[in-house]
Order: sequence, then C-alpha cells, then structure tokens
Amino acid sequence: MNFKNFKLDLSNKNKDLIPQVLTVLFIILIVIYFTINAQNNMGNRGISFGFGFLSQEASFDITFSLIDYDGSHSYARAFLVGLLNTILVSVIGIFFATILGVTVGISRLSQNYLVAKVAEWYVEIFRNIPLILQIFFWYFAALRALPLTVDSINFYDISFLNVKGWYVPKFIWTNFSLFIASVLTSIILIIFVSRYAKKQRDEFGKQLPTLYISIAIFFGLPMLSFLIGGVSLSFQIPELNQLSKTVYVYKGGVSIIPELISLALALSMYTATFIAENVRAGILGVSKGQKEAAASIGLTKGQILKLVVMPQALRIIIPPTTNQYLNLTKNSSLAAAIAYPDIVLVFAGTALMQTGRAIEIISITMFTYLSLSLSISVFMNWYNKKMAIKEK
Amino acid sequence: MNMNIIKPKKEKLASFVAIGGFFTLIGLLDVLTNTFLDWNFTGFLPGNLSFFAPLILGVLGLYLIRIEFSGNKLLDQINTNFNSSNLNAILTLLVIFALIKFIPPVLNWFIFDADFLGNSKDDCTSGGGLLGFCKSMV
Repeated sequence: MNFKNFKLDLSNKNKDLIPQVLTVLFIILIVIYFTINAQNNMGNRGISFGFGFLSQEASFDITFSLIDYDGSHSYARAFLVGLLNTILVSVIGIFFATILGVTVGISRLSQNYLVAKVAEWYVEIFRNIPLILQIFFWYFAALRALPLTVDSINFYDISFLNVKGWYVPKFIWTNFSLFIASVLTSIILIIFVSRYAKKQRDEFGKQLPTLYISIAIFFGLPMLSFLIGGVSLSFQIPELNQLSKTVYVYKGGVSIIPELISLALALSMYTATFIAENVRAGILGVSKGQKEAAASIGLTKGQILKLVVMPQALRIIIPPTTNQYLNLTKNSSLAAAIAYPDIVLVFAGTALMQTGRAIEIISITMFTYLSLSLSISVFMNWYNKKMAIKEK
Repeated sequence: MNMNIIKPKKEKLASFVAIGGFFTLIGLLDVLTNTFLDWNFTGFLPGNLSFFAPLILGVLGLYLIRIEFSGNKLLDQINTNFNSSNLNAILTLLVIFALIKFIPPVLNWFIFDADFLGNSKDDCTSGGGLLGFCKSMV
C-alpha cells in the first residue's frame, strides 16, 4: 500500500465531524453496556426476554371494549383494546376541549361583563385544580350522585342516564361500507369543487356558490346511497329489564361507562382552560389596525373574523394548542386512578402483573405513547404549515 | 304597520324602563321561584313555551330598556356592559339563569351539607360531600 500521498485532512468540515462521530460511538457503547448488563442480570435470575407472551391467552376480563374481547383472547388483543380505549378518550377529550376552549376564549373577550367574568372564573378555577382531583370529583362525587337504574334520568325515552352509566341507542347499519364510501366520495368531490371554484375566482373573477354546492353534495350522495344502494339504518333502544325483585338492568343499546364519562369530562374541561387562553392570546395578537382597516373597506363583522382575524390568529393559536392536545393524550393515562381500562391500566397494569415481563411491556407502552404523540404532532405541524404566512 | 310603537324612545324613558324592567323581573322571578320554591307560575302556558318563558320575557324586557344615551348613568352602564345587543341580552340572561340553577347545589354539596369529619362511607349521612373520607379514598 502506498501511504505516500496520505495526508490527514483537518479542514473545517472534518474538524466538525470528529466530535460528532465520537459522541455517537460513546452513546452506542453505553447502550451496548446496558443491554449486556440487563441480559446478564436477567439470565442470572432465569428471566427470558422476548415478545412471545403476546400470543398467550390473557385470561382476564376488561370492563369496556370497542372490539370483541374476553378472557380467552391473547395479550396482544388486550393491548389493542387498551390502545383503542386510550385513543377513544383522547379523541373525545380533544373534540370537546377544542369546542369549549374556543367558546370560552372568545367569551373572555366579550363586551358583556357577565359573560367575560364567568369565562374568567371558569378558566381560573379549572386550570388551578390538579387534574387527578378533577377526575376524582367527577367520578366519586358528581356521577355517584346519579339515580339508581330503576329511576334513571330519561331523555325522550331513547337514552337513559343512571349511576351505572349512560345508555344510548345502538346504530344498526346494513351495507355500512357503502355508506362510508359515499361519505368519502362526497368529501373528495367537495375538495375538487372548492379547487375548481378557487380557480374560477382567480382566473375569471367568477364567484361560485361553493357552500351550497358542498352542502348539496355532502347530504345528497349519502342520501342516494340510502335510496339506491340499499343502505338502511335502524336503532336499538335500551330497555329496562327486571332480573329479580330489586335488580334492574338495561339491555340493548350501547352503555357508556361512568369511568369514560368522568375521564372525558375532566380531561376536556381541564384542557379547555389552556386552549381558551391560547385562543384569547391569538385573537389579541392580531393588531387593532387590521380589524379597523378591514372594517374601513366595508367587510362585515363575520367577514372580518373569518378573512382577517382568524387566519392571523390561527398562526399564534396552533403551536401551543398542539402542546395541549399532546398533554391531553398523555394525561389520559391518569385513567388508571379510576379504573378506566386504558392502555396503562390494562397492559402496563394487569398484563404486567400477570406475565412479569416488565421491560417488554413498559417499552411497548412507551413506544405506543410516543407514536401516538408523534402522529398528533406531525398532523398539527402539517396544519400549522398550511396556515403559515406565505411570503414571497 | 307602525313599528315605532315598540321602538324604545328616549322621550318615554320612564314608561319603557318600567315596562321593560317589569318583564325582566318576572323572567328572573320565574327562575327563582322555580329553583327554590318549586313553583312554576308560568306553568299555565303550553309545554315548551313555559320552559322558555323566562328567557322570552327577559329578552323582551331587556329590549325595551335598551335606550342609548338615556342620560341615566346606571341605565347607560347596564346597557353598555350587559345589554348592548339582542345576542348579549340572551347571553346575560342565560348566564344569570345558569348561576341561579348551579351555584346553590354546588355550595350545598361542598360547604353546607358536607360532613367534614369521618373516615368511611358510613359517616356520610347528609347527602353532601364527605371531605374527611377523601383521605381513606385515595
């Protein structure tokens, strides 16, 4: 070999590279050390490592499940039940927190003294009480005060609320997939229509009634699927059955357990306060001159809010609101305190106790939460980018 | 049709304020007696109308007292802060009704009926909250 022409190139680029390579090597060494250490110690104690247990029979029951589940299913199925329950409560929480937060945030800026003060009190009370206490309040105090099954609160004879939960009608679909397909098609059509309308406006100055066309498509296509495609919908209404002299149960319909109600209530009311403050910050962040300029060219109040204030306010609102969505999703793990069967209670609780495979189960749970949070933040970052100011 | 009859005017301030105030007062009184005395004195009205009677009466009353630059300081302040438009009038009334409905039960549960001492569920005698129980609950 010829080393004659070999020169150690210490130009700036390589100088920067050397410490980085060393750091990466160091981290890899640490990881290897911990892995070997864990393997040795587990080997000494006779614990094996592996994910084979996931296909074993779980043999425990879960009180609330979106998919078919009983004790004879596998641990993997139990994990899926827990994950779906976590996603369910997060989605409900995010939905209501957003609506409530935006409403309260706008109310805090109302000219109406009473409305503004009530919104302020709501924010100050609910954001300053720890979340777990709020969950306890809704579960142990508020929902326990509901009547027994016999004298449930009756909503128009179709829905019943009592101490065991909220019984709502069950939707029974035929040809459900066709209905979903028609809804998806209508959404895609609406996107095309709005693009076409924008093109017409930009190129020819024509205003198409996009809103009415969209409404017509959105309701028309699913309606067609009912008339032509043979889709039909019927409701199964919960009915009161008497099992013995004093024992009553509701049969049929869907039962929403009190754990889910109280957890969703507490999460959304707690997070809504933070979202409300974000919304208020966003609206106040748009300068008064913008609104006055918009008013001076003759836009109506609604147009000012929709075309001038909101697009600018959203840029301020979205990033901190993403934080709150992530917080809500992670806070849903407090469900374990009131025994709502989310992933922490089912998988990192019961399944961990039964199998004793701490490293596998905790790492799976951590990766699940990580991927949930990352997908929320990817989506919100995409939305943020879409809303961001486009400078030329 | 002459709409000016129901258009509040500054010249007839006293009568408008009297009639408007009377309507608003009846609306509030209806909710109060409903909540505390279990007596619905607009019960003779049919179904849903009876339920919405306080709101309708209140909005009507607040509309009648909405007179700008009336010269009365208190009335002007009420109008700018609580009653600047129909929407604001409805919001004000709804908030007041909600406060009347929800504050007393919450206060009762937390303070007046609560059992402050006790360690188990059996000590919870009054139907209110049992704050001592929280210790053993957690």
